[in-house]
Amino acid sequence: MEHPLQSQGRAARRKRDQELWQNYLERGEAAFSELYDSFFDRLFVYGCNIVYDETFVKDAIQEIFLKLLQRDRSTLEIKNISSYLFVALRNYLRKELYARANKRRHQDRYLETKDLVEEPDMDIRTGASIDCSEALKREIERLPKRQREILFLRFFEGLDYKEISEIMTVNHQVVRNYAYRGMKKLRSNMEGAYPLFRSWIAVLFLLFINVG
Amino acid sequence: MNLDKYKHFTAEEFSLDPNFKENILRSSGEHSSFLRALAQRFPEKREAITEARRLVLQMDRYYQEQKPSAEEKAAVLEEIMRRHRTKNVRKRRRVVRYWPAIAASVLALVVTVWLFRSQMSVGEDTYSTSFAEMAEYPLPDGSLVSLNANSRIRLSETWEEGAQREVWLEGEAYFKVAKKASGEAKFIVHTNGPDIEVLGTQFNVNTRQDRTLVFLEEGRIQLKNDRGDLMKVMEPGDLADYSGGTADFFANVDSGKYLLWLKGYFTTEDLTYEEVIARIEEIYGVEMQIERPELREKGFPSQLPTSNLEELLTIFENLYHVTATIEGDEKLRIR
Repeated sequence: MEHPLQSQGRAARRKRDQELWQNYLERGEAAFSELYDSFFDRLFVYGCNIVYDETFVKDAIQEIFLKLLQRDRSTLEIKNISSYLFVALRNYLRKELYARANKRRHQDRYLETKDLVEEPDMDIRTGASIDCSEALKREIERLPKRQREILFLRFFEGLDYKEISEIMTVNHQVVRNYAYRGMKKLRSNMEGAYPLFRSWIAVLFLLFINVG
Repeated sequence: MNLDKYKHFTAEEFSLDPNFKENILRSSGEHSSFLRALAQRFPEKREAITEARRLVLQMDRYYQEQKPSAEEKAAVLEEIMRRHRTKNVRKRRRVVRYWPAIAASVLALVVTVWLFRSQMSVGEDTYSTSFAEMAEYPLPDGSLVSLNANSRIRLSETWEEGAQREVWLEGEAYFKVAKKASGEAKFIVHTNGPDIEVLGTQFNVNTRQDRTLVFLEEGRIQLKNDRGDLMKVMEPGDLADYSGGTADFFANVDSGKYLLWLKGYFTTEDLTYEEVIARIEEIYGVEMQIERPELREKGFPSQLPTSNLEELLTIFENLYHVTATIEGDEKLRIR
């Protein structure tokens, strides 16, 4: 299977981010769409791991890119463009959430509070036909907000804990603990769900390691 | 490749390791020399590796499924360019017009930083929480500190074995102090009120308002006034209520009340109406504007949330049948 985002390792991706940014600084608008292309998906998935409203996330991305585009390039001092964009998106979403919490409190509570709302507790043990990734999705969505956010930055973006701590302004030891705790929760919840599946895969995999 | 760092890895740590993840995703079911090398080097870790691999594949799938479609991506870009073109015309003039405002905000920033720094020097050795945020930090000696919202703790520079361990606290914190063998290794919490000297223990310190409340859950601590004179050796269950250089002591108090914030709530039981309001303002960084005088008579519920502003607003609305809103980020208005 091809993973357009993951096929390059993180070192390669970092280098590419840097090149795209340099390119934009030199050529301006002409190089903007390339920069946008490389970041849109990543920012979108990041946003969706902070709030559950795709339209809201798309609007936010629109705003931060527009703002970037309208700033005078000669005065931009952005060392790390990916951190800059992640932080910008994060701040924008948080600020808007605050404002929205007021206006919409009575209509939709899905924003921000998803991890506080108890979902109907379906017994995943009996639902043998439920797709594994559906179960994982549900578990990830049950994680506390920050753990979810950290898992994305660590797992999908492959950032190191120091970088994550700078983006989220949280101590890096805390980031490390949260990542671990989040993963542990996912693992233990998934484990209960598919004992059979798990042992079957394990046998297969051990075989393949030994043969190889 | 050097595999040493994986020696003590658990399944969770494997799946969080970018290198491990990249190898799993790149090999996608085929032979991976990295995985084989890993399994050969640490045979006892095979099960953890298998499980981590499964987690990685599933998590990757979860994120891949969240990706937007190409149409969505193109539509947002189009909108950005359209708005950019229409705004571009006015841009230059606007920057000039706002120069005084920009200058003013730069000045404001400098002043704020200066005020903040003068209170407590902020460096690598300072942990802090913002409004409506709680966090737990490990200290260099293995002790743990939980910081309540809007609190700061600064660490002394030396934390070597046997050295005196010192922290300066503003706000509220709960300490689990790691016990050291040598009697030398004191742990001291300085506040703007009393100093607390510790030898391996769990306790809570609250320096908000003009009082400092110290609650001891486990172990023993010494309370010293700001001149350094010993006031009392506290026993578990003791509460010290310190203000203006003197302290009242209470024995066998209810720990639930003083440690409630660790669960995300605070108690209003011992607080006056004004103190509750001050507390909310402090925790959430808002200014309360109450336009319904009857609130004072009705009183507050005994517990209020410390890290969930929305829940707080909902409590007000349901309890008093009022409208509670946040205005301009900083004003909590009840009408």
